[in-house]
Amino acid sequence: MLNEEIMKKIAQAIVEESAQLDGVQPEEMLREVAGYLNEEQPRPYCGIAEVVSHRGVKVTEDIVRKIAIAVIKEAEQLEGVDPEEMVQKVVGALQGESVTQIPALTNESAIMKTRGVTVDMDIARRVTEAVLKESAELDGVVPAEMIQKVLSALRPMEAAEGSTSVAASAAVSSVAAASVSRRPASMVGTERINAEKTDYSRAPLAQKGTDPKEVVIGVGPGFQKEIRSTICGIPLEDVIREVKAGIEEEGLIPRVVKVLKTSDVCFMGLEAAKISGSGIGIGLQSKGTAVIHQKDLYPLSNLELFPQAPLMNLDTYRKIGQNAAKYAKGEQVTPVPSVNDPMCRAKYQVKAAIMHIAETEQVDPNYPIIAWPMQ
Amino acid sequence: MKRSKRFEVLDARPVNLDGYIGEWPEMGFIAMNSPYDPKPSIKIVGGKVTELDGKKREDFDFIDTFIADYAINLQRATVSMSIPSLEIARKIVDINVSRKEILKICSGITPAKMAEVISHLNIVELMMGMQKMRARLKPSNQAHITNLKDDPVQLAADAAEGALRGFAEEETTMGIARYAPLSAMAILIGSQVGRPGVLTQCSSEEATELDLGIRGLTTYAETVSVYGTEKVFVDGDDTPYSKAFLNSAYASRGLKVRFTSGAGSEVLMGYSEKKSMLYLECRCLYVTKGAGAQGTQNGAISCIAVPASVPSGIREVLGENLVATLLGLECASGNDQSFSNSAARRTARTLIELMPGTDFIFSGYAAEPNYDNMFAGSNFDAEDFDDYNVLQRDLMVDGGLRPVLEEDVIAVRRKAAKAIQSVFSYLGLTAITDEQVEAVVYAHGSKDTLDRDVPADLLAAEDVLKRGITGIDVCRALAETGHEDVAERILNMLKQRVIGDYMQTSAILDKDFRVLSAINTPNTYAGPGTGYRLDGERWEEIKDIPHRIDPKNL
Repeated sequence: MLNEEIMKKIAQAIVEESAQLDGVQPEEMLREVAGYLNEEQPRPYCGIAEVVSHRGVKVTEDIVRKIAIAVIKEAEQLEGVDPEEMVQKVVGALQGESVTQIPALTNESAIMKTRGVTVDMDIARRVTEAVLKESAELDGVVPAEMIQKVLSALRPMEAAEGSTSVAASAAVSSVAAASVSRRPASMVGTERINAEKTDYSRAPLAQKGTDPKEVVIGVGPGFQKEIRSTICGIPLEDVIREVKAGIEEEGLIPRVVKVLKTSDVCFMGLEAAKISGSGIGIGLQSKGTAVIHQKDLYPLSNLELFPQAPLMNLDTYRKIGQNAAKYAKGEQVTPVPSVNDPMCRAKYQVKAAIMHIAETEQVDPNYPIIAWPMQ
Repeated sequence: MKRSKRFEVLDARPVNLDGYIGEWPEMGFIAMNSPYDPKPSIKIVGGKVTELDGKKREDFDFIDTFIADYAINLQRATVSMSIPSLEIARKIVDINVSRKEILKICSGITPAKMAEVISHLNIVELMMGMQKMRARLKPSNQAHITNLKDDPVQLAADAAEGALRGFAEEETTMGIARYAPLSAMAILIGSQVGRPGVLTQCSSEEATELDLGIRGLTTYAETVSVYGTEKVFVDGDDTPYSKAFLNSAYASRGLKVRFTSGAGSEVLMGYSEKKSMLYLECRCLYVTKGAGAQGTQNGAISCIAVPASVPSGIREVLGENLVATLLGLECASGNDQSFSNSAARRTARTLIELMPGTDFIFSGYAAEPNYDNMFAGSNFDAEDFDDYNVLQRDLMVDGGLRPVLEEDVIAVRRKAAKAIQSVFSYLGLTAITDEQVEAVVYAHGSKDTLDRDVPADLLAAEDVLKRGITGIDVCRALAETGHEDVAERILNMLKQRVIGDYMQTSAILDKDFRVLSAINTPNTYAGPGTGYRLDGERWEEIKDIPHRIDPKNL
């Protein structure tokens, strides 16, 4: 059934996948999906609509067939899933017609047996991924549109199971909230984003490490508390998990601390490096901006900087962990290749400002750097 | 709700991809006239400022102290402060009041008064003010030269093409900061191939940037950032005093310097103290002036999407450019960062500086496709070159660029790429293959070039620093490998540092290394028929766009 966890995973899969597709904006995609999940009319979000009008999309029979095959392939590997029914739903959504009217599909669907269908998280994600992968390779197909159709096909199944609430995940709903259907209320007179400042007075201060195999990750003051996902909606626990995994993969030991004395990513990274046994630290702002730092560098210098948070994905976070560990081992490191989206600023800078304000509100020089998460 | 098809179309327009937010003064989301902005005031006792803009000296933060001590002409203050802001605003647009007189008046007003003056001017009046107050007679333009791969060969070729297209200054930065020495070297060589006398800089961490400047691998510096609130300064481990020292460090080695500031940075850093963007930027510009810098790069710069998100934000951007000129500073007026998906919006945002003319219309026009722009995208890029040339021609304005011929561009790109190939080989840095050179010569961007060996390049970059390689070594390498003409030009750039004239306000160099600055070629605008007029050779050049109908071939 489609619960909050599933929504979150779907959102994440979409973000990850779409980040790798040319001309597709993860945020728009999420909004699109969120619109559906919230049982609203999907809105023609700009990024998608633009791609559509540029490419002139026409869903041909051939495209439908290829996608259907992809769906079947995935569905076959999943227990309790009826590939035929899935295909029907997908195709129905694509064509607005019944599957039986598409001759090319008859062979594929004929071999399917009927099984009881339950759409769980894994299925939803895999199907989404499969659809994205396939549709990306097809000329004239907009992956976002595909996802939308697939999700709308999946939704009735879930509804049929009697679930009443389609609660969107934090990531999805926050994106959906940013959509434009109504005028936001004035904020004039409001002095903080989060009325209460979190009290860290009882948190143990982080100590300087001595193990040369240690790499310290310094997260921002609002990390996993006031802010729970990055600017493009990746849950922060997933981000931290990947960074740690990257470090562990290289045989080193990650340690997470929360830097409260500053919200500047370079200084956070440097603070982490200074208490790191290896002298290598990672600064990680809650909005997703990251830096690899070394204890004896100038604050605003760095080993590697990842300034465009909206372009980050889990794979990049893992590579950050790996490279940080390699620096700690004194290896020759190939930096993670730079990525660049010249339109990032237009879309994300205001959101980045708001997120940074929320993070900065938590800065507390009295407790400069604490162990995280708190025990 | 059933959706209107019209609204569906409108919602899908690029302009609606941009970020907007309502005014929220408590968080600094307000362009001008925050209810929390201070009222102008000054009290002077015994030659010392005891009150500034409603604040007593004992309550000053270090920005107030710095401004009170160094940025206001106290001899002028009493008189200037007694002139109503509206009257100063009117004088700014009055062709019968000279630039000199305005400078004199403005030297004695406080930041809050300055903000008040600007708030009286509408967008056209701001442009009229800029037309008169710009420091240098002739406007010019600056390029960003960068690429996603930090490929020095492409940097050299793009710098050469940019120089040929007319940019008077070229700035680079890196995806991987450690590439800096190679990047600086690349655009130094490339720029001089394209057009002698182009100034270059490498935007990097401050100490590195200073080091590169001292070595003569760059010829100016721009990334000396100042902020309008104390907390943002502190967050960057800085003070107005440390910035003044840094400025002097450059000056002591004969390098041109300008500071950087702009609306929105304090908002983005979370410390706006509820003040308007304009007021905070006024404080930045007073710090710039107080530190003795000749000029500024302002106009929101990398935070442009913040003022652009609030009402009257783009007007504020031109307003802050004008403030720089009112303080007698050189103004490189932004336009250097993407902020909108809408072609209409981004053109309008640039026209307000292009039409009156500023010292540098762009403080970074992407002279590469924007996907290669490592300042995260500029407002105009290499794909807009012809649009820009036509805009100059349509409006008969000098935006600093010119139409060029494909064969000329290919020739300078090849010459630059071969020059850096020789220099790298002579200095024993990473190898540059003939294939890399060829790919770069014909490339539009880094998608068309071969990959570099990044770890090897980074070792070479480190080596440049360790071995103490300087601009003279680059000269020698060029001279010894058959590029005497380029060597001589770089030597000439190094000589400028001994002469020092290009440290004067708004200085650029022409192709014969003659300085054009606010000292020897000041703006003389005083109404129709005066000031810089586009005519003669320069107008012919702008008119001569290649894509014209040839009546003989119809």
